[in-house]
Amino acid sequence: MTDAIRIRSLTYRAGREFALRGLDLTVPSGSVYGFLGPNGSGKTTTIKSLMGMLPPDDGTIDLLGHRVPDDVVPALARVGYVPERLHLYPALSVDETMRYHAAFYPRWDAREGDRLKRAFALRGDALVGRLSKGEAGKLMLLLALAVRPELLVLDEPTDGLDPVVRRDVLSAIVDYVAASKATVFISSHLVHEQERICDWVGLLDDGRMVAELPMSEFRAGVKRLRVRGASAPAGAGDSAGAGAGAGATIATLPFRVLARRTLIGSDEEWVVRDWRPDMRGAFAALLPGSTLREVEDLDLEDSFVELLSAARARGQTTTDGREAA
Amino acid sequence: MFVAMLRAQWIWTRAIMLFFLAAGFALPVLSVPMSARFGIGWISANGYVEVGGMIGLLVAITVCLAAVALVVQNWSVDDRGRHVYALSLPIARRRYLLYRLGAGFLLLGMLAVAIWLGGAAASGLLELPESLHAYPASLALRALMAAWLVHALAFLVRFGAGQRARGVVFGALILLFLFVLLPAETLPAPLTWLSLASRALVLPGGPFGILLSPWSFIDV
Repeated sequence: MTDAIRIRSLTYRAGREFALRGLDLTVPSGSVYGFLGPNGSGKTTTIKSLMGMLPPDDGTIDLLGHRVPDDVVPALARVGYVPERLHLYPALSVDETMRYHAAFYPRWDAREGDRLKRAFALRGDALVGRLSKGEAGKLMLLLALAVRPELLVLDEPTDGLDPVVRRDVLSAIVDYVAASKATVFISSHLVHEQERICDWVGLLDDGRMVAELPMSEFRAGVKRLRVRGASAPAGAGDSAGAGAGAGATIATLPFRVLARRTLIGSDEEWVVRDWRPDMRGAFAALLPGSTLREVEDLDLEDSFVELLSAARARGQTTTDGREAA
Repeated sequence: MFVAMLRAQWIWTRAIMLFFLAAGFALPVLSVPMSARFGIGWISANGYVEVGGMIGLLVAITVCLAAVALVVQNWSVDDRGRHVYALSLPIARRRYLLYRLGAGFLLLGMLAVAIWLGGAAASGLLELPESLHAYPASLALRALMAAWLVHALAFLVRFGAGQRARGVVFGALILLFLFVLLPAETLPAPLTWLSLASRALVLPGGPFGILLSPWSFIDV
């Protein structure tokens, strides 16, 4: 299976500041990839680079098998793109915009465009410049879907939309993916929304990938543990508690401790990744002298926050995830 | 693709274009009442030529303004969306710019047609002395050439390599202006050729000669 998007060591400078620092990213074909990151982390810059709008300072970008930006045009004909902000011409009506857009895309499906226009309750004669935010978002999605794309690139498509419109937009994306098996690359900071539709997730912070792994592993693998008797100084990679056996350190555990917090008494709260259910029974053997009191599932948002916090606490973010997962 | 771009360009510039089309038609027609002010029958041929020259100058200013306005309007629609839409479309940038330029040329062609129609109407109404003639077709053709030249230059400046291109063109225009104004003999020897070259650019026969040489709707 080829990758729909493959980015290696992508570096981009915006003026003197680094916007992307050696970013690696891989979106498998047919996946719904959630591209998560806090505001200003470089999500939109990554997408603009991917679409050939920003030439990279270093690194390579392959979009549907085409090298970007040199060979981006044939790739763009197979991509449906929804940018962060309304980018369409305000003086054109909805119908005129659809006709204009269709002229550039050989795969434009006029029937699907009309169907979506009705489904989204968009008036054909309404001027783009006078559309509400929700209507504009729907129109941009309509244009992206009616080109029958193999890849949908969506940059914060539901940001600022009311819940009803957001549901419509997400439903349209899910329906399209179900029918076409297209790949979706969706950037957002609305973590809970990604959790519902994505099967891969990449976490970006400060222009670097913090983690990239299948959603199932992300959901199952990131846990909050309550541990007693492992009272070493806080920090991943520290020695285990006084009772730990020879050579048993947190760094040698088969899961990674992202964060440690001291609770009342000798209890600690750990946030870990790469956790497997069978480790529960073997915990005492893994870290002698300590007791695992509780294993709590984290939702994507909590996992996202913990991963970012851990990456920032380490002082640098590293590219891992796919390889480490 | 080109037709779609032309149609879109017409839609977002039509208010401006309609204004210039009306002006392009009306200006040559204006020569009729302007000539009538002096009284038909006894006005001298010189008076007609002056009126024709004034109309020509107004037409020149109108087409130059139209060409620049078209570029500014075309740029602003993409600028408003940070060029994201244009750049995300599956079309090579060079081709996109050529289509935009071509669409601008066609819209300015409409302006030339309006000038020709206005000129033709006016020449039908004017009672000129036998030694004089109205030249609606040549005025329209000249307007078209001048509009295309200004449009192409403004397009280059606006869509070119950003501020650097703008700086270079702006600086070149100032130098051109200075060297045309200053007589060659007042300049130091190494700069004499620059003055001569500048004059060659703007005098009739030069690439910019169409802009600065006298425009006249009515002539011998």
